Amino acid sequence: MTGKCMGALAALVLLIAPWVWAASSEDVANLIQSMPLSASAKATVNAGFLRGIADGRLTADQALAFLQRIATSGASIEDRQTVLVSIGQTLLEDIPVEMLINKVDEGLARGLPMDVIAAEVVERRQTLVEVKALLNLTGIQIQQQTNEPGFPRSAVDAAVTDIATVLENHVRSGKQANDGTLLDTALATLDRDGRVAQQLFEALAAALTEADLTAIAGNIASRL
Amino acid sequence: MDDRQFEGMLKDQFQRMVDAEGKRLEGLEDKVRWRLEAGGDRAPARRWSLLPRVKLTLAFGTALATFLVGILIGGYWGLPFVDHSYQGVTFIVALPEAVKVEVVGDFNGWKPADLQRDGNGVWSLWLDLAPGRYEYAFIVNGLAWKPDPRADEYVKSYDSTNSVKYVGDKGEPS
Repeated sequence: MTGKCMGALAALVLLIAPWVWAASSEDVANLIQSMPLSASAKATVNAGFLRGIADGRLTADQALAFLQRIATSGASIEDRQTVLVSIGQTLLEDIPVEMLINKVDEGLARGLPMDVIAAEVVERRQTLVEVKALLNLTGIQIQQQTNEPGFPRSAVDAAVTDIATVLENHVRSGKQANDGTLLDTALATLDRDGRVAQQLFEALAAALTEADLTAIAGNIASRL
Repeated sequence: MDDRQFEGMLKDQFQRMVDAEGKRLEGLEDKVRWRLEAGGDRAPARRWSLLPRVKLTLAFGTALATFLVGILIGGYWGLPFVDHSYQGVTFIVALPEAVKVEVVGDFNGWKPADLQRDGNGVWSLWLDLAPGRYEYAFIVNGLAWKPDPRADEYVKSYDSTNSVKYVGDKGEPS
């Protein structure tokens, strides 16, 4: 009987452990407050990450782990602040940050200095902003409530990230912004990405134009 | 004291014990009868009969602990634990001269994961990835970042080249 009780107790502890140990928004806020950032930077980063957690763009665990990686990176406070404010601002503007966080992690894994990583984040953030604005203009938006028009956040975020990636890669590969291939390349990428549902793909195919994408690619070229 | 007196004394003693622990001994007679019918001559083996239950509890506890620790570690390292029907992705590269090959990508937070070598120098690793688009690279011998010759496409990143793999129903290479 004692063995059974111990087993059941152990199982219960193990079952609730992930919830007990899971990070919360409060943990994220506390970590941000403990970082040596300016008051305005803290406010932006805090508001952005809490909004991102609230709307499901990232979990508290992911946010906490990312912030800890930045906090322990050993880079200058200025560079770390640039990265965090860029991402916080992007979260506040309802734009996906998956690409930015991936570029930070990739840069750290490659052993690159934080100023190089920060410059990459700032540049790519601007592309995300412009792509998101383009989608908003064409009426492709996130569904905020059930029965309201729009598409699931995860799908729209994936589309914004894919289009921004295509445009960035096009320019970084040395191709001309106006070579007339951007729309086909973007649609091919969106078509292959399993996160972009067929209905959203069709809406994007109908809404996007080569001229719109060329304009954003031209802006990227001018920044690089 | 003759046998009859001795027997009576034993009965009295037993009755007092039954009265004192009536509730605890409730059903004892049925239990004894059941055990005798089931092979009462094996009564000394009683302590061993508990062993399978203990083993079962331990096995269940160990399996549960392994599963939960896996989830916790997986969550920490950014490994994917996802609910989907896709059968995963195998990263595979032939590098007979390499002594170590790892894969890093946005599916694992760019933290190196070891590929396993077979006898022919082919390195591989299976990962359970959700549908989507993934950028990655191989790290050979702990130093050199190399693109995957079997990637779906390639993109520029940090003045270098990342491989891209599409995963999921729409992501099958055309």
